Amino acid sequence: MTKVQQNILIGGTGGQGIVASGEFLSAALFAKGYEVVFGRSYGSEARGGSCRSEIMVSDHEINDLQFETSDILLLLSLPAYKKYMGKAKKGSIVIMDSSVMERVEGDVRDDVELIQVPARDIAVRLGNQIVANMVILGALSKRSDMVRLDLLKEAVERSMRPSMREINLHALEEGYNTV
Amino acid sequence: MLEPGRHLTLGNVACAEGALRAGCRFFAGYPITPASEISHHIAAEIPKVGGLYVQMEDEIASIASVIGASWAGAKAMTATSGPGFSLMQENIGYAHMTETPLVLVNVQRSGPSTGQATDPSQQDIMQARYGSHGDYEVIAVTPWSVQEMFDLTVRAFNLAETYRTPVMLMADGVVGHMKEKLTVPEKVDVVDRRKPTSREDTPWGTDDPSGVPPMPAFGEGYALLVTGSTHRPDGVRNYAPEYHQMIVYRTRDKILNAEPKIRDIHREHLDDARVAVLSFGASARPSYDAVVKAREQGVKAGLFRLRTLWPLPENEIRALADQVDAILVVEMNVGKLVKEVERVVCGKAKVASLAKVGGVLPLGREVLEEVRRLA
Repeated sequence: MTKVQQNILIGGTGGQGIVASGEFLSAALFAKGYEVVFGRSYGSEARGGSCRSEIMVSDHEINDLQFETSDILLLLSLPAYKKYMGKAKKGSIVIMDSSVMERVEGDVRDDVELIQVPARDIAVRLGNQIVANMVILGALSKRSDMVRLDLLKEAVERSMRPSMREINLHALEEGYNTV
Repeated sequence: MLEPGRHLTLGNVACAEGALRAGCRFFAGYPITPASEISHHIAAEIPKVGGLYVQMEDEIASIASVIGASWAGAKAMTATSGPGFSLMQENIGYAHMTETPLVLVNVQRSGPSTGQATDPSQQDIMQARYGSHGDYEVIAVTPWSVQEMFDLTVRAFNLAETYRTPVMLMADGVVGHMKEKLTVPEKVDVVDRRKPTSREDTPWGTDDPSGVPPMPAFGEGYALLVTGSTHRPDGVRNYAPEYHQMIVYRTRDKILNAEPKIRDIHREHLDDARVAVLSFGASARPSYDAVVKAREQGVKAGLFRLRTLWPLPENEIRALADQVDAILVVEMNVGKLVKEVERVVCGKAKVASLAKVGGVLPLGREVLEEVRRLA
């Protein structure tokens, strides 16, 4: 059996639920039986600093704890786009909030599979822009063989506080149906 | 607490789970990134098993109350990171002088001072060894995974009770703040401290070859004196040179004589290796990845990983030096363990350093390049 490992990078700004989306995504992958290493990095600011989640997922034991290039890149802010777009492997999936894309200046990489999702707009329509991260995850579950919508939903149902559960589940579905 | 079985768990939570299963029933601490989740989880869970969690006013008070709790008979722990570890140093010496079993977790972050408060390091390893004043031997264990945050926390408690000494779990911000698989066993092996059996037993002197005296608790009927000052076997203060020498050598020897039992080395691919990568904690993960990749490329590399960092397994490192051409020491600091390895190897093999600061883990690619250069 060949070793299959996917490196997933989620980049954004503190307060956007970057670590939270890493939590739900890694929980969904782990529930499917994969080996998962989930690391997070954030500044000392509670809000507004650079923030990222790194998830390595494999059908074998994972030796290393970090990666240099991503198979899946999820971008929720312009600083994260500038910092991480170069890390996407050629031909890999990049999912990005279209409201961030609108503010990108200069050439955009054409050697990756760039998917724009109006995540912030959908989240605002649902009633809280904080769930833009879940719209992106929903979109990912449509495009990835590893990530399944039902397992993401289960992860939300298992660990999201009740007052935020419904809106997050809607956000996942909307993201799934957008792509 | 988590049910036995497979869980996706944060390293710090795994540490707390291990502590509770090892019998920890008192925890005092002060919040600090990247160690706080240990406190959070213990605070939530320890009352359910009849234990006590106290958030103290600072780290000095935290370790002081842990020492007190241990003398009241509890298995006790605190957890911190660099700045808090610095504050604890004086009382760490007190714990050594009074031979107080306790577990101190340091989830290392990048310093000096506030430094990169949210980023990991392995910069405190020599502070663990020499941070307090005076002469003493320390036991320190170094986990490289979430599973080992659990397993080595259990072992830290057992070592503390066996040798009646403070034990440090020198984790780093990488393993503390990552999630991966934790398999919680049905049962863990637990060691309890040896109690006195007669009035003749003295708390600071023993004929037992282990050099570990039995330890009474307050309230058990013994006229118990506990002091950080030099004392006789019965605890009465006495500054005479012979009493001080007795304490220093016995407490040193009880650790060093037991080194073969405390030793815990993880070896991979070393049988025919020409280059050994010597590492510990999170740094050993890219090191292992590099060894596997080097083997795929036909380079005879192996991993020599210290799960127990202190006391350093000097004889084993010397034997390694006899076998290989080069030893590459990989660590997340400015190059500290490498100096110890150079001292022990004493020219028998080439010793090289891959030391990285800046709050970042060495990359597997960087380790591989060094291994190939040394091959």
